[in-house]
Amino acid sequence: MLEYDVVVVGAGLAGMRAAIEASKKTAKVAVLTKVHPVRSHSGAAQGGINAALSPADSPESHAFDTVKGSDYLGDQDAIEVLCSEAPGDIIELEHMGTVFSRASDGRIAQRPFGGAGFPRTCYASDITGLVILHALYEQMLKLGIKVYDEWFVTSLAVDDGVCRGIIAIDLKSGKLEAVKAKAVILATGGCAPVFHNSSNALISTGDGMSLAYRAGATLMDMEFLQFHPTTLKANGVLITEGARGEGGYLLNALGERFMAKYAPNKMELASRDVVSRAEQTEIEEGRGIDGCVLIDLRHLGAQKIKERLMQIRELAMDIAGVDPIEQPIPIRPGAHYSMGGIKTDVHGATMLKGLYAAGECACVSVHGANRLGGNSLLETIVFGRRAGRAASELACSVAGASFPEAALSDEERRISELLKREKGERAHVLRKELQEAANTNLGIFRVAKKMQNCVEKVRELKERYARAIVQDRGRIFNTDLTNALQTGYLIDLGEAMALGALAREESRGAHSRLDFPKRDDEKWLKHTLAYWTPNGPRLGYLDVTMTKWPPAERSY
Amino acid sequence: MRYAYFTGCVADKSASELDYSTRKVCEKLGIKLEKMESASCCGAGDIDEVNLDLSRALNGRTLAIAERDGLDVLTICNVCTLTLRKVNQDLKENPEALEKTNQVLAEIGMKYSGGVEVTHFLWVLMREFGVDRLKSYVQRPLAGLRVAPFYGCQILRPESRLGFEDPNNPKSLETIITALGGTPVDYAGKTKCCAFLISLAREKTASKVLGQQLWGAKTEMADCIVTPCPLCHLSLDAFQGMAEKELDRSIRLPILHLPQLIGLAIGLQPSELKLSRHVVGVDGVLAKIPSRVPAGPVPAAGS
Amino acid sequence: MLVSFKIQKFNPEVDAKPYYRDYEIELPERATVLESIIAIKEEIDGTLSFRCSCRSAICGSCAMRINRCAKLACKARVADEVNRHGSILIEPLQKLKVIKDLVVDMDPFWRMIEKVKPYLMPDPNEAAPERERLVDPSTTEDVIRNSLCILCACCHTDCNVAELEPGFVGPAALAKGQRYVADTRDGATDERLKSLSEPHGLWECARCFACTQVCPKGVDPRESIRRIGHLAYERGIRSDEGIKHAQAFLDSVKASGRLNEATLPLKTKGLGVVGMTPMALQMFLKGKVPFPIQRPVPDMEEIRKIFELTEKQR
Repeated sequence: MLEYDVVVVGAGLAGMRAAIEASKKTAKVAVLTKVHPVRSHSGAAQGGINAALSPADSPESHAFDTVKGSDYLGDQDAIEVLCSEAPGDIIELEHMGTVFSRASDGRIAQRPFGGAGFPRTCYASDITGLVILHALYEQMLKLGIKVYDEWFVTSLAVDDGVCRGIIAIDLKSGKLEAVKAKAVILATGGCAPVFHNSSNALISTGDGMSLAYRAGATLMDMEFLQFHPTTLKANGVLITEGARGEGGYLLNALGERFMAKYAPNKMELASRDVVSRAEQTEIEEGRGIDGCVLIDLRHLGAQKIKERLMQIRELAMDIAGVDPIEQPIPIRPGAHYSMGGIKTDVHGATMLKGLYAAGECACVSVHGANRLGGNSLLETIVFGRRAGRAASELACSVAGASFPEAALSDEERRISELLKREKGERAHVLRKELQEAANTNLGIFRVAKKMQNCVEKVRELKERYARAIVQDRGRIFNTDLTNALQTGYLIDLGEAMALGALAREESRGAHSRLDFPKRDDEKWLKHTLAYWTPNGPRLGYLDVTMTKWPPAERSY
Repeated sequence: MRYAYFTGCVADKSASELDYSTRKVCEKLGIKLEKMESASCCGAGDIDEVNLDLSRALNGRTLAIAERDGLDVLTICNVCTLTLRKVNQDLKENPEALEKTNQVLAEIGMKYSGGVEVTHFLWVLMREFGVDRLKSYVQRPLAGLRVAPFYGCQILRPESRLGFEDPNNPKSLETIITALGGTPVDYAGKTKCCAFLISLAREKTASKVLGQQLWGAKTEMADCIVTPCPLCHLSLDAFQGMAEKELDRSIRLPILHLPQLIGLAIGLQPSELKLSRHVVGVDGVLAKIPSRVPAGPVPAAGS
Repeated sequence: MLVSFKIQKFNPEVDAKPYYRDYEIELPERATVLESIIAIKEEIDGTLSFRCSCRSAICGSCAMRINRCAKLACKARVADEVNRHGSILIEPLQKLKVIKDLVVDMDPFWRMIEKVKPYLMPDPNEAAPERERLVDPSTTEDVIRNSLCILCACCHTDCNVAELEPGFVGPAALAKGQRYVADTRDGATDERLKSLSEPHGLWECARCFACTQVCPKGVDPRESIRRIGHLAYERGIRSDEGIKHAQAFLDSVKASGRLNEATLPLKTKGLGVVGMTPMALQMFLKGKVPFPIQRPVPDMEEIRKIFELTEKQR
């Protein structure tokens, strides 16, 4: 059996940053990922990463913007950690070799982003995630950190209430393997593909969230799912917030900059929940075009577009058939980011001993009810580093415990049963129905009846999933099997989302209810917790940590 | 149809049969070629690699000469085509590069304003001259001759610099072969590399690459290969022995320059095409086509 | 629209060798090849295996050969392929071992990337500053352009040289190398240039431009290779025959305005030229070896002047 001190699951920004940090304390670190590290979805992040680098800016100001952006649901102690450690982490990334766009004085350039009181988003054109992803991967090469790529984790091994390692399929050989670890860090990204045509990659199926949830760790704030204001109609692919940061306008069918009605001060650069609601309202009230509004970049000029927004120009041309130099791009709000996730403390520790989480799969919570653009990459780096540190410290302090003997054979039985099952529906049918139900009932504007429909639908899908089949019965690189397992993960999370949303009778950040249109701090200034039970999630609640900023009315 | 004729160094010397046959064919077709006597070498990828400014100045001068004469440049070599087109495109699209080049040209009393196009003999035949018209000149159809087109890289790629046809699915040589009455042979190597540029510095690698393409044509039962590039020709013909050695197989495939193939079909004599200058003999090809030109109406030059 | 696909399949658990299977499926007008094969997997053949993730040409997973050209399936449009080729043929990337269907073993490719030490190596004698290293914004453009490489291996597997010379480090690795050579924060430029100039390095590039042509991100690896070659020349790293070839070329144009084909082999290969004798003899017999002393072109003065002036400009 493979044995490590620290095993990191996922090789996006959070996972690799964690592994690099963990390797400083112990050499026995391995990264397991279901794709090659550079294929991770962090690479699709476009706009940038926030840090108060300028003397005219401050971590306090960054923290306040983040607290306000979170609609006061973010834990302020965690947000202070995030913002105060941000500058040091950016400098460290720069020293590692990350390429950043530069200002004329040679310093890292920063652009304005939504909900921010200062231009504090560092970037590399509109490929910021890609350049950091590659820089971290290259550091892993330099440090010689062991990577098991294309290993698909099917379960966590838990014994005595402690996480002892993982069980995974080595996709290339098709073999099921057990990996023993003193600490496991989950860094598996988000689960926006609970929705149809989300901005996420096809691999973002909430694996870590679901694995942790099933293993007894707690999920938090799953109802808060961010709808990004600018995604392409055809397939939900993202158009960066940087497009508005650089000065792009949002227009309705009448050619009006409609944000003036919704956020007269910040206009297009209000926070994402505000902008997405505004767009959805315009569309629903008949001022949209074919289910979209427009983002107009033409006035930025060809040079700026080619230099700072090169990728999204390419995407707009490829996917929407529109060159933003010549024409506005039709866009609509789309499911983008999970503010919720596996509940952790500021060291990445989950409620399950030996298990850590960082990045989008975790909920520290720094984003609360709505995340600011540029804070997700930052979170991966700050809390990836902290989780790596904490996990390696734990690993150095505990003796190697036993790996639960039956875990591997139990899992082997479960997988072969699925492979052998003869009659039933294929999993993608269920995934599509889940996505359909989420889009219809759990979208930008929510109401009790629809959410109830969603809950019922997910419960039905869960039952059908128990009888689902795969068509590919082989072992080697069986993506039919992994797709089926991923659908199982998504259904779990969809259930937690729908139930959490239905229960929360207020509107806050991304959770916007027509039947409870106001924020209700008296009753709902608290996190939703979801615990796994055989009959579906049991909900609980937890107070929000406040340090400096009492809740106030939020306008942009 | 009149062009500033940029022969290129190889067609001027070791592949002089290409220059000769091009002029013979153009004379017959009525395409006027004004030889650019004082043009320099294009420098190929080599000068471009070690000194981009020099490449722009040397080729800027060539373009300026054509511009002064009010003619577009016609080349008969892929490498010259790409090199000249690259410089031309950069000078047209990048005002700083043009300015810098013109500073040098000013010292020799010249100026380039971006008014010239660079084209290749093959493209002129396809576009300006026209295949139907070419067909009307055919007096000795190459019936039964299986001709493998070998495009060579630098007339296809990169598309952003060349752009005459789809680099993955080009049709021009096949169209011409068919127009001449021959049968085009399809094989994977037709759009691949002859490795000429590394044939000196990486002999073994070059032989492997070259060998694969030659063998590909051979296994498709080609009688000969036709190419629009003298460097490809040198590789395919003169270095064929190296490829045979590397593959440990006999290939003996005759290689024709594009105007030579056309020349045969439109009734020129082998001696007018200097077919005897090839390392791999072309007798097999000549044996397959009628030796005598049938009597019949001949279109007047330039019609 | 109803579209036909021919897809190469191979499952090592049951198949002795790869074979082609035909599929026909109804697709929307603007469907990508990736959307099509996902639909085929879902509706027709659950065993069809391929990698995919982002759907937006940024993760590099879905590189495969589409109508015999390496492409990202998520960027290739079905209608374009049908228009250009009449049908759609999908095969795995060339040269790499097939794991299953369109999934290939990428390890040899990753090893090549690792060869160029793809990470910043700052000058060890220089302490890292407290803040970021300052960088002239005009130099970052080049680095960002190369950073657009998503390591999809399209260029590497379609490279005409790498196809037959497995040792050739290849265009993707060379472009990655240039990304660090161009980075002003890096302190190992000469070390990098020397290693990039090794036998299977940049001078093995035959300038077939396949890399630049197939790159789905507009990275232009051949341009990166040109830039490394240029810098190696500038910094006097000139021992390879490839760069001697370029020097000989330059010298002969400087002397006569023309390439001197007769002296090029000797100047490139030195004494190694002896090995080429049989070939040279054949060429000589056909009159293909020109006289080594050649007359300068008319107006040679102008060319000499251009050499002088561009020397001065630098």
